[in-house]
Amino acid sequence: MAAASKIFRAKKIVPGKVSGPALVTRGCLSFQGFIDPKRGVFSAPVTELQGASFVGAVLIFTSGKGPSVGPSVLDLACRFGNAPAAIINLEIDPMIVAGCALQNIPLVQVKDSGIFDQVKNGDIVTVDADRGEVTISK
Amino acid sequence: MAYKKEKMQLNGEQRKILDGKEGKILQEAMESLIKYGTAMGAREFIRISSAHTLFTLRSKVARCFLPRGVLLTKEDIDKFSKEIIGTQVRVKTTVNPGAIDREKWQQMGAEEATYNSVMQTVEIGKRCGFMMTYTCIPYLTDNIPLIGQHVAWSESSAYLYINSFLGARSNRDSCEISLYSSLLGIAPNFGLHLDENRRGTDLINVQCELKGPIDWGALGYFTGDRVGIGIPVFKNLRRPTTEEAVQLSASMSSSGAVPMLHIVGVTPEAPTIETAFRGNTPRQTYIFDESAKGEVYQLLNYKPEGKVDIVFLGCPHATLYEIKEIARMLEGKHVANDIRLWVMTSSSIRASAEQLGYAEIIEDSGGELFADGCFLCYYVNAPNKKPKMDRIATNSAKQAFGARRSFNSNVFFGDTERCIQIAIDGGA
Repeated sequence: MAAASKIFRAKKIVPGKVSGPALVTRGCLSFQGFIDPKRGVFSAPVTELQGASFVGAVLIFTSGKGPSVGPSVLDLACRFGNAPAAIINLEIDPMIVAGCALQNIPLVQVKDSGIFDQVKNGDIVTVDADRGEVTISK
Repeated sequence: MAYKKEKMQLNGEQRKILDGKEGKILQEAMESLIKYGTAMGAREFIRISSAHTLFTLRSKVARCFLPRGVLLTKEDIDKFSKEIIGTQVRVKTTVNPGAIDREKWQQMGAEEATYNSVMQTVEIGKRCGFMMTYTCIPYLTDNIPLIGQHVAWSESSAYLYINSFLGARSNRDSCEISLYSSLLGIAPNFGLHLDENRRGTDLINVQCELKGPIDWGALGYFTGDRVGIGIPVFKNLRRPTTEEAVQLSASMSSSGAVPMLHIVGVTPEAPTIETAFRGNTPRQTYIFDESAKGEVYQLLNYKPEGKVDIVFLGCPHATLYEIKEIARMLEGKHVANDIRLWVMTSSSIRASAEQLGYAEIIEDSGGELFADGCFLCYYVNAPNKKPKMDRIATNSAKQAFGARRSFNSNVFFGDTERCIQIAIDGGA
């Protein structure tokens, strides 16, 4: 396993340790308008993730963007049992931080954009915020 | 152990609130602000002088305070609504547009149940001391911060505008965070509250003429998309009108996560390009020229040719001047039968527009002047009430992007004059 896995250094933003399948986009996302909280899927036609389920996934994207109701939509998704497992961002947007901090969803910052070349949808990713590590198992 | 060390410093009063001595609602607000502040690297709180937040539906407010991860019943929300009435905001607080027009809700397709629920929320908000303005441009009318004031503001165009054009200090706060801050009168001290984080990070060199608010919207869209998270500094940019500054701010936070911008000679903190960057070397320089502008128009005009169902103006809420201009363009003309013309604004601005006769002109022509609400916010939450909007026409880059993203609408994005011409000529 060790030979086939890839480790990235990460900065803890919201603590926790969790594993899940990766869901990846190089784009920037907002929960407002991009997701259907009730169905747990990306719904907007403006993202390549349209149709993909984020429930239990480790979401990897460049950063948050967009309106200030984003965290409220994430809250609703969590109430429907549709929480993502963790979020990995390259840059830190207060909207994603507020969303994760209030829902206790581990959030880390990985500054190395090389992560996008090493991970594809469905790879199992372990986020260990407290140790400052992201592990991608192939 | 290490985690404990990172925790925020609290004073006696804040500690009391955290320990629950001032009730469960303030305790939840304090715990949440500590979680958020800790994650953002804040070490202490700072006093704020105002807030702008969301207080639109009881369920949304209740969700900020009641246990996470579970669905709330009507009983939970009713019980919470009684509890929160005992709580008072500690600072001047206005609220963002919510669901519906408090007077003309029927024309928006809303049901009486929604109206009743909104009016209950208004009553609760008033009793808690919120100014139930339901506007996204409070910074022009009801809540105008001054240079150097620390505040906690939500709403895309709003924090950008007050940081960049008024010199006030707010982070890009989400609705929950500004709500907690309004009740506690404090914000975690990080980000744009601190001088060093207000410096420019990226340079935008403008090499084309900007003709009116929509060109500024296009520039904002371009900038947010390129800069992502950062503070752009604009070079070769003329002084905007108020309406142009609003469009620039609003569109930039639809496409990106920009909390502040510097226009040299306009932004209070940027009399020169050197003061805008204050020692920072720009990470990137982007050129906004005719071809870049053309690309934004091409992107926001999504299948623009064909029958338009609704012409939508007033995102962010129309200013009194914009309403005056819309009335001037509509005077003596008629909106075609097969199309709707909707103009959104705040209650306080509509009251002025009524007094000055602009509202009557718009309504006589067959258009609607709505207040309080937001077309996008309402129909996202009530999709079954959504009128036909297979194609909309709008003068707002934020709305153009939002309607495409949230309603899958085709979009004509053009200036106010062209939008009104579409309304008069009919949908075709």
